[in-house]
Amino acid sequence: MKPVRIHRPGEPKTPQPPPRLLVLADTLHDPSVIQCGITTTNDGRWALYVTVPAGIDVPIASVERSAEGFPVVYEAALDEPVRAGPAFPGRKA
Amino acid sequence: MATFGEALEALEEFRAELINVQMNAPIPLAQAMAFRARAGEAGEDPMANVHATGVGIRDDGQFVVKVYMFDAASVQSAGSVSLLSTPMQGVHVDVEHLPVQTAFDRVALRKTPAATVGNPGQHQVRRRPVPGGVEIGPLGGNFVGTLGCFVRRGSDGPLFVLSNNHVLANVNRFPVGTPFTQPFSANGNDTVATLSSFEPIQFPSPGSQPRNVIDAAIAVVTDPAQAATGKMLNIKKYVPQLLAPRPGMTVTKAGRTTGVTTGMIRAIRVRGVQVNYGTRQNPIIATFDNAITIVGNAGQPFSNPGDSGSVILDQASGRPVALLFAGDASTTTACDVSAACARFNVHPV
Repeated sequence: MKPVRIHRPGEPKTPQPPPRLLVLADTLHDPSVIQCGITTTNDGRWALYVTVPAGIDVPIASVERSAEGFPVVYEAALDEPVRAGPAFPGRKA
Repeated sequence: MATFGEALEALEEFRAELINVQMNAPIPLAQAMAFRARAGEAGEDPMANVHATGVGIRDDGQFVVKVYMFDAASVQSAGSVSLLSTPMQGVHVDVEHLPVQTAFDRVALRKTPAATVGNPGQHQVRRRPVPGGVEIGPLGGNFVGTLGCFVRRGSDGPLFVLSNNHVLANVNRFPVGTPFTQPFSANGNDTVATLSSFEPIQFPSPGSQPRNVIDAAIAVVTDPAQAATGKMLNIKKYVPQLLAPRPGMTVTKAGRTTGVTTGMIRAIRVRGVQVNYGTRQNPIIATFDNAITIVGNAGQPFSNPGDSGSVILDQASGRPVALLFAGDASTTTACDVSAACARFNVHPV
C-alpha cells in the first residue's frame, strides 16, 4: 500500500491527545520519515502523523514499532517544499 | 467494500493524479482543454473531458470515486485510460456522462451570501475603520500580504497588527519603523501601522540547521481610532480568544487573495516542515516545527500567495487557532498563533 496524498482526519474522540503520543511525535526519528506530527484517524482515534516519500510501501515496520501501538497515518510528502511568499500586484505570473 | 472515508481519501489521490496529468498535457492540448472547459465542448482525449469528480455510491452501498465527462463518447473511451479505469487505493472509479450545468438564475446567484462573502476583491480595497483579513503592504513597496488581526499588549497597552515576518519584515530585511499601508499604496495617507518587532526566520548555514516555530511580526497601529478591533472582514463570528487547534477541526480565514475560505486541519505539531522563501528556481529553505497543516474544502485551495498573515479561525467558535504563512495548491501551512502572541506578549482584540 502507498501513503495517501491528503489525509482527512475525523473528529477526535477525546479533546486532548494522549501525553505519550505527544512525546512520540516529538521524538520519532526514522530515516523514512520526513515530517512527524499528530492527527486523528478517519474514525477519530488520535494517531501519529508521518509524511514519507510518495513511492514507499507503508506501513513501515520500524515506524509502527516506534508508535507503541498508536495508529500511524502515512501521508505522501510533497514533491517540493511549500512556498512562503507575498503576492506581487501587477507582476505577471 | 470501500467506506466513505476511504473513498474520500482515494478521491484526493485521484484529483492529485488528475491535476498532474492535466498539468503535464502538451500546450496545444492544454489550450484545447481550457477552451473546452469554457465552452463546455467535448474533445477527443478522455482526460480533456473530465470536468467534475466526487464520491459516489452504487446501488449496493459501495462508495466509489465518481468522474463526470462532458460527453457520452468520452465515457466509452475512458476504459483505455489507466487513471479512469483502475481502482484508486482499492476504491473503484466510476465514469459517467454529465453535461455542463447552467445556473438557473445568475442574478439571484450573485445575491447569495456565499457569492458575496467569497469575493476576494472586497479584501483588496481601502477600508476605514480597518478590520482584520484585508490587504496590507509596505508603503511604496511591490508586494502585499494580509493583516491578520489586531493584538494588544496588556489591558490598555499599544495596539498592533499581527501578520507574518515575511509580510511585515520582508524576511528579516525591513528595519523597525517601516510604514505599512492598507491597501497596497504609495500614498502616505494610507499608512495604518509601522513595523514594531519580528521573530527572525533562521536559515541553514554551514554547520547549522536551525529550526523555526513561527513566521510572525507585529506593527504598531498609528491611529487606533481607525482600527476595527473585534472585526474580521466577511466573517460574522470572530471571537478574539485563542483556542488550541485539533485535527479534523473545520476552519476559516479571511485573506487578501482568496477572501473567505474554509478547510480542515489535517495535522498539528508537525515537525520538519520545509518552507521555501525563495523562488522555484532559487529556493531558500527554512525548516519549521510545531506547524499545522490544512486542506481546503471541496477540493478548493484554502489559500494562495497574498493570504500570508491571515489568522485562521475555528469556524464553530470564531476563535483564532493558527497563523497562515505558506502553502501550495493542495496544502496550507500555518504556525501556532498562541506561540506568536506569547513571543510578542500580546493577545488578540
